[in-house]
Parts: sequence; structure tokens; C-alpha cells
Amino acid sequence: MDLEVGLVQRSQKGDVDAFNQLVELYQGHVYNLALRMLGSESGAADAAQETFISAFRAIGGFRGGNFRSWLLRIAANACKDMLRAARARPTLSLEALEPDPEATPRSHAESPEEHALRAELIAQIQQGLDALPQDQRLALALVDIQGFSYEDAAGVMGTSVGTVKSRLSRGRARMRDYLRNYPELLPGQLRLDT
Amino acid sequence: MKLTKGISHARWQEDLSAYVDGRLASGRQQALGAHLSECLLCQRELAGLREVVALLRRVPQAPVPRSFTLSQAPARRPWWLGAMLPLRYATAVAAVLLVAVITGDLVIRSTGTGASTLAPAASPSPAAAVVQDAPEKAKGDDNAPDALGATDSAEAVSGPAGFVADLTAVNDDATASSLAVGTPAAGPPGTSLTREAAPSLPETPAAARGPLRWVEAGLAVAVTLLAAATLAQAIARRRGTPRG
Repeated sequence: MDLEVGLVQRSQKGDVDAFNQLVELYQGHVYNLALRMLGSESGAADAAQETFISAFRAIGGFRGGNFRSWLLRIAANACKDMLRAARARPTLSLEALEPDPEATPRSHAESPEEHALRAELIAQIQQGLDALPQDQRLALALVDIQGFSYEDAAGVMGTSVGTVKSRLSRGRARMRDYLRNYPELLPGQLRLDT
Repeated sequence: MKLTKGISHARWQEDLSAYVDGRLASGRQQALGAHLSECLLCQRELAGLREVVALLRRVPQAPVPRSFTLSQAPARRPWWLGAMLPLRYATAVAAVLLVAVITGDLVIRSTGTGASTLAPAASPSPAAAVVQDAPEKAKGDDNAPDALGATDSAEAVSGPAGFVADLTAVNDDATASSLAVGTPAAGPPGTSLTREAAPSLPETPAAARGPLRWVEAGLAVAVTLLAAATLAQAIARRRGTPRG
């Protein structure tokens, strides 16, 4: 944490090298959040790059606190801007935000068949996420996929813990209903419920 | 629907998500646990939610496709780029005002035209005076109709019928004299207007139209400038976004 504080302070003085160390620390979080929000690798890469450019410009105004939450809030806003732009220009957005079937990394332990099945499941999960309202999608991406606490998620979303709970509850219920449409991909209770 | 201590079944289901994460207040967590022990529906809902959460937690973290480090410090955003949104709003407001003023002008114009055909002419208007001068200038001039035609405001006041009357005046001095003294001239109905009798617009619309035209012109210039500035900003923003 002390290292992070030092890097932030140097970045605030315009030190790009220090800022780049922060980028390397958090680019995985930022990229994966954007990937789940946008559902496309190329869109997520653009959003991540935009996030770090915006963060460098705005870091002078960072007044301490949780830097990761601050950064991910910028990322969430960048994703919302891109989704808004995609809605405004649907012909451009369809191509740019198309899900990439090769986006699922393959584990060494799994066979090609297992990998294909898992990739399909993740694609279905992504489609389920895409069908959620943006705020519910963000809540699920932060808490369930990235493992944030309710408090940290509330910090990123700029809202209260109670609102995070509510968005999670609704988003999870919708995801459960959505995934029941694909029983062949699901293990256990969800398949039994269909 | 089963009720437990006054809490509806639907409310229990809202709590299931937080229950999965152990984020209910302790008393409520215990109460929901007790409810779950006897409610099969909530047990199934809870199992479904747990499975969703387990699935989402299994979504792997994707490796970043490239480094997002910055090769150089991004250029500071020019101050005027921050004015993008206010500029867009200002353009929209100016455009709406322009439409409103033009609409108002058209309404006044149509009202004024209708009134002019009905209103008796009491005194010569400035436009009528222009008409009065025109025959003098046009005498002996082959381009007389052009000279008259240039008096747009006069035509607007007297209309086509008045224009015919003026042409008659140009080609016939006697008729012109009779017009000058207010004698009705021969011709089809509507052409027998004297200059004194030439209808003029009612005072109020005429008075309102002058300033309205200035307002229209001002707003049109404002809208044009604001739209140009917005466009220039949008282009600059697109070109000026640096990549790391």
C-alpha cells in the first residue's frame, strides 16, 4: 500500500513511469471489468486504454482513499460511455462489441472438449450479463466475477452498500432465469429446476 | 404463501442473495435460516442462486491482450474541450429559440396579411410612399416594371392587385394622375386602389416584425457559430485523443 501511495504521489507530479507501474498493477482488473461490461475483447482493450489515459489526466484530483476503486470507477464510466455510443451508432457498435469465442483461456488440465464446453458456458454467461441492466451487470462483474466486497463495489459504483445488495439480488435472479434456458450447459440445481 | 413473523415470502426471496454472501444482519440471517428449514420453494431458490454465484465465480480472469502502459504523458485536455457539453446545450437552446421566433414571425405574418385585406386604409404607409415615387422614376423608362418590382415591401403591402394598378399607372399618365388625386381607376376589382387607399399592415404586427427579424437574424448567427464551434470541438477531440 505504501508503494501504491508513493506511485500515486509521483504520478500526480506527472511521472509517467510511476503511473505505468500503477497501470501494470491494475490493468488486469480494468481490462476484465471492461470485458464483462462490454462483452468484446477489442472493446474492452479500447475501454482499458481510455481508462488509463483519463486516469493520468485526472490523477491530480485524486484525494487519497482506495486507488483501485477510483480507477475502476473511471473504467466503469468509460464502458458506459462506449455502450452509450454503441447505442447511438448501432451499425458501428455491432462489429466492435461482438463477443469473441476465443476469449476464454484454455487450462492445461482440460481436454479440448471440456474447453469447448466451458467456453460455451462462459459465452452464455456473457450473453446473460449483456441482457442485464448496466448497473446490475456492473454489480455482478465486481462482486461475483472480480470478488470485490460489497463496500468496495459500492465505492466503484458510487452508491451505498444497500443499493449494491439490491442490484446483486435482482441481477442474480435474472441470471438464474436466463441460464435456465440452457440446461445442457449447466450442472446441478439450475438444470433440475428447468 | 407462507408467512414468517409478518415477513412476506417475496421479501425473504429478496434476502436470499445477501444470505448467500452472509451479508444479512445476524438476526435476519437466523430468521431466514429458520424459514429456509421449512420452505421448499425458498430452498430451491437459494440453491439456484448459489449455483449462479458459483458459475460467475468460475468465469476466468482473461489475460490482458497487450500492455496499457503509456508511452508518453497524454496531452492535457484543452480547457475548451471541457465546454463540450455546455456548448451542445447552448446550441440546442439557440436552435429551439430560433424555431420559436420564426414560428412566431410566421404567425404574425399570416395574421397581418389577413388583417391587411380587411382593414380599411386610413393613411399612407411608408411602403405606399415608395409606390408613389416609383412612377415618377419609371416614367419613360423601359425597365419600369423592374423599378417597381424592386419595391418588395410595397408589393407585400398592396399585393398583386396593387402591382397591376401600379403598372397601369406607369403606362398611363392620366391614370397615374387620377390615382394621385384618389380617383378610382378603371380595371378589374382590386386594381382600383388609390395610393391613399392602399392597405397597410396593422401597426402591432408590423411593429413586432421588425424586431423579430433582428432576433431571427441574431439567433441564426448564434446557432451557426455555436454549431460550428461544437463541430470543431468534436473534430479536435477525435483527432486529439492520444494513445499510450
